[in-house]
Amino acid sequence: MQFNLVKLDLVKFKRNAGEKMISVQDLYVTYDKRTPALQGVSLDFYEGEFVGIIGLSGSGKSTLLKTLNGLVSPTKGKVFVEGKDISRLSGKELRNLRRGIGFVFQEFNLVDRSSVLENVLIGRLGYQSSFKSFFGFFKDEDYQLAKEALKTVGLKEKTFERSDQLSGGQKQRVAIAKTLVQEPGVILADEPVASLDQKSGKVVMDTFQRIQQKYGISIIVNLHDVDLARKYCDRLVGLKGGRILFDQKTEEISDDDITGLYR
Amino acid sequence: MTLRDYIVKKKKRNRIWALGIILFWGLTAYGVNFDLFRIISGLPDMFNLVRRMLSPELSYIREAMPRLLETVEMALVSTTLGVLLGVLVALFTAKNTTFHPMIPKIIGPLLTFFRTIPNLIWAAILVTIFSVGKFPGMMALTITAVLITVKLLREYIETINKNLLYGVESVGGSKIQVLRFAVLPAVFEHSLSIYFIVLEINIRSATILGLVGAGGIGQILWRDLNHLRYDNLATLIILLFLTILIIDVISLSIRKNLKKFYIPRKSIDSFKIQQQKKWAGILLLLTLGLFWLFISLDITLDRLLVGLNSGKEIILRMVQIDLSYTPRLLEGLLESLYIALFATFAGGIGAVVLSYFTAYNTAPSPIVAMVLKGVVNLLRTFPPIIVAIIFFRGVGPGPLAGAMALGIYTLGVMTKLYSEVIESAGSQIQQGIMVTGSTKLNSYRYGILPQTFPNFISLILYRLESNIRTSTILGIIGAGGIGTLLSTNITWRNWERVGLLILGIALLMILIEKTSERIRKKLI
Repeated sequence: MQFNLVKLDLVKFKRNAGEKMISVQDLYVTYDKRTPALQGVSLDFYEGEFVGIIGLSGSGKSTLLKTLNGLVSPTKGKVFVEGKDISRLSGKELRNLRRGIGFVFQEFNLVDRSSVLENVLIGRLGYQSSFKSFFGFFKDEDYQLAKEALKTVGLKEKTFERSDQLSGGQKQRVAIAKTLVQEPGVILADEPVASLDQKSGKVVMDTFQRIQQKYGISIIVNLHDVDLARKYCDRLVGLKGGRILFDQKTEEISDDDITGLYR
Repeated sequence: MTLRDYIVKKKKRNRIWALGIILFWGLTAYGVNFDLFRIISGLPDMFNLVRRMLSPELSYIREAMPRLLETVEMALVSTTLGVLLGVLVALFTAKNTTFHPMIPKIIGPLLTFFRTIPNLIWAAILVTIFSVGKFPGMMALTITAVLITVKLLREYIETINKNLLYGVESVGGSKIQVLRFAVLPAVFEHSLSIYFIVLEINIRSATILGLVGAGGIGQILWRDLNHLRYDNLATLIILLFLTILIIDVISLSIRKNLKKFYIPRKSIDSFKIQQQKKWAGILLLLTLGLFWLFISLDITLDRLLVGLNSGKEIILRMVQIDLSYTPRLLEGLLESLYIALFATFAGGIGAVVLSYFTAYNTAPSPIVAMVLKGVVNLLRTFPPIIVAIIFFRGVGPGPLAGAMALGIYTLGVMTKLYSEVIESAGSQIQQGIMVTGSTKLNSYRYGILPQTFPNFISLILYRLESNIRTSTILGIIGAGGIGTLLSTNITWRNWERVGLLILGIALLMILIEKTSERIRKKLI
């Protein structure tokens, strides 16, 4: 499973916008055999899109996102990425798939004690043999990519700082840089601004937008802030109780749809 | 319920609690043959002993020094080796980082069982296998280092947020890479501080290993005791005190500064060089460490093989436990339990009082607090088994000497820990009470004490576990409890009986651990 690699420092072309990339079919996820998180979700994601998934907490947003790269396995139903059923992939194939999909977490999940650079380099692990990476040796090309990625998110001057010295917004941008060096086709972001104040939240969302426009990388983002979602996303998916309530272009969404979601 | 009912009920409940505690303590006191008259009449003898110790034979230092260095070496080598192995085992047996979910289920209980066997028992058994010397002692220390590390670190690893592991998994990292880039950095700092905790434990254990012939300063300590050379003994105790103090201070300062440690880099090139230097350094240290380990082992390959062979036989015999010995086992266990309970109770109650004068925020003056902190540190420096020897002079060998020694140690440790809790509980609660015009003592009694009481109970439960473990070895020098049976049966090589005794100790320990775990959970 290989995406068209976007060489951050070399190529700046638009990908084949509009082509179907991820397809979710009748997905069910139940935790601990009891708690249902998703109950029959079907939808498609296309190249170059900026999609927002909105809904209350507990509506299944996070679970949906985590099934897309196999962090959570579906109880029933299938996920296809570029035409391949991800539940049938071997361990190695799944890891190769994952390195083509960036994932940004709400709580940043950086290694606090390590430098910013080391955290960004973690994004290159999927391209490394276990043995070599164990000693922390990376290729020159990896360092170039990390440098370029940090420039893109505007944190070049923080490269050698210890990660726990950064502010929340900066940490999240380091996490985005980490996904960029994966040379991904799509970035999944699970509530990326929920732990941030308004101002740094806006900087993070702007960064996503810049990446989408500059490199044509699709962005799929979970948000609970509807205004933010309306401002940045091309398309909005409303989830409620593990089911899709609506799935439309942002401008077609009415206020009634939104109130229905939060009722 | 009316207010009046409440008052009556509360009074009644308090009285029942007080009565229960006194009765229970009385029972344990009876169990350890507590005899105030004997203690008082023994006081002059003990005082005499202490006075003779006040004139140490300083020329003895020259003879003791090599033994002391050997003790430190044993502690350092075995701690390093044990913690390294322990970190690996912990990574592979923690529920969230293991390779197969069955591994923790099988290895976990096995490790719990082994952890219940006291260090000195390991040493005593290993001495009969590998003969007298450093080697069995180092092996015993390594085993306990591994077991403590696994216990402390595994619980910590299991608290690591799942998302942190996802952070590496989601970039396509393999299981090994998850360990290296998510788990290892997260546990590195904690592992280092565990290293120093284990070192502090091992340096204390190493001083008493000589009692069973497993090398170190304990061997001459034991000899001087039997020859009544109290001047020499005093020299040894001073040396030990200084050594333990130095190691504790170094360890404490390293643990404190660990959090801030970070080397900033200026360019990618220097980062790359740093990475290479780091691994070259680690490789060098590893080689040096192995070399050191090799030269510090005083054992030949032949002897090792012979030992392993007889070890196998001993284990095979131990497994066929001698059930007819059960009455003696129960008798011994009960006495050990009495010693531990008496010591924990006496030391714990003493610690509540002493902590008030030892914590900076409650003590009448900072000078009092400072002096008491020194005294408390002195009390907890010496392994109880050595203090018990001093009590032999006053009350004779037996459970009372063991219980008193363990009680004093408990008083030291509990006062240190609980006074730190009081200090961190902060001035806010205290101020909240002081503003009503009450005294400092009342702010302690009605503010800090109720606030921190769950912490106190939790600390004392941990102490009880540890005291029971210690009480099982006191008998090796004749201070009561199951240790007497253990050491005689090890000497006579009745391995079937030793097997039963160890099993009995393990079951008791596991029972106590589970109960105290349950109580602690309820408290929070």
